[in-house]
Amino acid sequence: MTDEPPAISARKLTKRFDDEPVVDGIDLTVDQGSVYGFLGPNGAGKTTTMRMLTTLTTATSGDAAILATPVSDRDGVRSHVGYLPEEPPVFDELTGREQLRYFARLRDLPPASTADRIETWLDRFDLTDDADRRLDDYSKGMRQKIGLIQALLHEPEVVFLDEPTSGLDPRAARTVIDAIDDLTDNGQTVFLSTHILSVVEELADAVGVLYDGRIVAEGAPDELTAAAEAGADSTLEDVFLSVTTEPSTTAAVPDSNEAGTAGDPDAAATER
Amino acid sequence: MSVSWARTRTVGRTELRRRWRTLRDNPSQLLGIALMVLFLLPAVGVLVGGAYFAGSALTGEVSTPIRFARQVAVGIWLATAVFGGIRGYTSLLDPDNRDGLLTTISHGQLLAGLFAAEATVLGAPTVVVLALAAIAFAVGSGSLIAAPVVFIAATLLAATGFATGVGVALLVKNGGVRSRLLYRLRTVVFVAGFLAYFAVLFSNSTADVLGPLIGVLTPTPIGWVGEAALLAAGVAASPLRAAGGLVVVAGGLVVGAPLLTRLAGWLWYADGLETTKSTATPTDATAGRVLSLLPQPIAGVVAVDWTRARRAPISLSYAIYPVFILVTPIMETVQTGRVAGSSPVLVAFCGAWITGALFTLNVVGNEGAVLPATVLSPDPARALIGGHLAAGALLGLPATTLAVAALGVAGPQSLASVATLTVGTVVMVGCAGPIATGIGAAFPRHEAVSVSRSRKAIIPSTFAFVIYSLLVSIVALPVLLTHTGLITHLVADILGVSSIVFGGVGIGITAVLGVAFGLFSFLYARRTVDGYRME
Repeated sequence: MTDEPPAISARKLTKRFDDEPVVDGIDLTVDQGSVYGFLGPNGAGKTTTMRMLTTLTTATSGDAAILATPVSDRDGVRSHVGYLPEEPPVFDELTGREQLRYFARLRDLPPASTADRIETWLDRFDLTDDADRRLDDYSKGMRQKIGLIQALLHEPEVVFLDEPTSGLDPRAARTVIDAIDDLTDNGQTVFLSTHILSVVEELADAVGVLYDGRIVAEGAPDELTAAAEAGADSTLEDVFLSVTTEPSTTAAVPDSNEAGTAGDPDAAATER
Repeated sequence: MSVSWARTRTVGRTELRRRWRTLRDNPSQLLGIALMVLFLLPAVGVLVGGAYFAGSALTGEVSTPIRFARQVAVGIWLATAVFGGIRGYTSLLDPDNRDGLLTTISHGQLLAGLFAAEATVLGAPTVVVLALAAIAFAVGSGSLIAAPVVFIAATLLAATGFATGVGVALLVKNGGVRSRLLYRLRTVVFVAGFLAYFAVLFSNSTADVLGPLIGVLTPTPIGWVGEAALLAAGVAASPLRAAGGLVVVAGGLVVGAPLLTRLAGWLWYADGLETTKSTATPTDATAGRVLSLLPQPIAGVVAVDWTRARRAPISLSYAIYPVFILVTPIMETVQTGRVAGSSPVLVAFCGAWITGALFTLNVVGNEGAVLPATVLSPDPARALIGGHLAAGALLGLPATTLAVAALGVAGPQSLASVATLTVGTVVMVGCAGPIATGIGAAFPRHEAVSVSRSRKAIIPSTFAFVIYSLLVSIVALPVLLTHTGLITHLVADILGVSSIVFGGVGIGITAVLGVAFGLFSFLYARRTVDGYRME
């Protein structure tokens, strides 16, 4: 146990639209330098949660903080995070290189080192030859890669990735997965939302499954699979399917106050 | 993160680069802007000339210079406020990739960057015009000091007016994302506003409408700014009011900046309304009964056309253009209280024109992402073309025919003339759709285009619309000419032919032309759809 604050923390975080809870009082603790896999069926509230944590929308109630900076402090949180939404935030009219330079300038990154950094990332994602083409000529996967570079360019301490491998071919997806893996080596934290369970199984130190606005299962992937009804042979997919099929599945799980700590291997896998 | 000049310049410059590239990709939009600038040049000349004569008049005998100067000041402020409101509502406050930008910079920084772009594109030319007007005023009044004073006063008024307009747009938009009622009423409000605008414009009631507003603002600090110009020109006015006006207007900018920033933050971080998606069938009961009479594949296309039109009326943009022709007869009818003689004929033509432009002018491209599934369905041409034709005709035919008949009966035409015109209307409307199908198939547009800066939709190509408009006009011309009062009387007098026979001849020619063009066009569309391959 260290004194360093969690990368992400949330207590009773709630978002309601028209009195309907979309995110319903979730608690989260994500340790620094870990990858947190955020799973859930479509409409479970994953994107809304990420938008609250990245300050794009305000919580109806509850608290959240990024590296101890409350999300109400937008400027403070913005300096800590990088965010890749499901639809990469790129401008069709700019070239790939212009897009990255633009966001680097907005972040006040030093031009000299930034130029090198941009070229390194472009090379890593095999985009160097296309960097001076306009983004409206890019494929979905190429736009996704530019969006990811943009989110990582300023080396944020906490990175929020919403479906980062969506639309990528296997080779490109592998490049992205390796890049995410490298982030934790640098001490960066990744909050990863995806439907591709194999990616989570490979990368995540901890997994949270959101269903109907509530976290119904949380823990290290191997602990979750070990605790699943299917037994030792079960996979993360089995866990996902079992906890997101019927609301009654929550009846068989322990008390939510015993929530595990993401990234903490000692924490017990807990379903909620 | 404070607002920095470097980031403001970066956002503004990138915004300008993107706008320019968008324009460069869209020659028709570029041409439109060039034409607008061309039309504005005479207005600039009038403004500068007016400033010179106003300055000259001050050296002579002017009975009420203070009132006039104040009204000019209010006029500058109001004009820029209206413009700022429109710009704010339609484009400025809807930045692209908001999520990416707002997780990178503050909303205040983003707003500052957007304002910087506006200041370059619109502010710079405005400042040049105001400088020219200020110089002209100074020359006219023979007072050199008047040039900088008038320039500063006018620039302050324009800047404050624009910011106020943007502020109002922010309030309206904030209301729209928080109130379900306002959100749902927005289309109605805009149509009403649009009609009211043209009603005011064409009824020459601008002064009646703006008069009270100017009257309210004239004795305020906005009006007082006008007195600064008088003082600078050596005309007696209140220095206290002039200085007060300038201070208040300049102070308004200082106070307004954080207010606008706060309003922009409320808007951009708002959740928006989760509008309840209709789970009802896409058609109401009457429409459902009508559709049940059609073959299933055609009825399906009709239902989808109507549903898409209802949910995204912006895709029917071209149907708006013909309506402009009706403005004059409508105004005449409103002003005189009697149906204008030209109304039935023009309604007949516009109805036909609109009917073809509604759903049939992009039969292939309109399918968008669904096109592969559509062309793989059994007999896609029958369903697609038949469906689009029916979708337009089922709306356009009864509406236009009834409107023409009703206006004709209420108007000065004889019943015989009304009867033949009604028959002619059926022919015109019936032919418009088939004429449009082939043109749309020959010049399709598959991709969504920017209808406004913030809205994209698949609409027919401009070229297709122009060709279609030309052809439908040629086809309709015989009916229109043979039902125009003056020509009908002239022919009746010269040839001794009754109006019924004359009208009948017109209908016959229109029918021949319409069937010929329509059949050819329809067959071309059918062949295109049947043989369509995804390249």
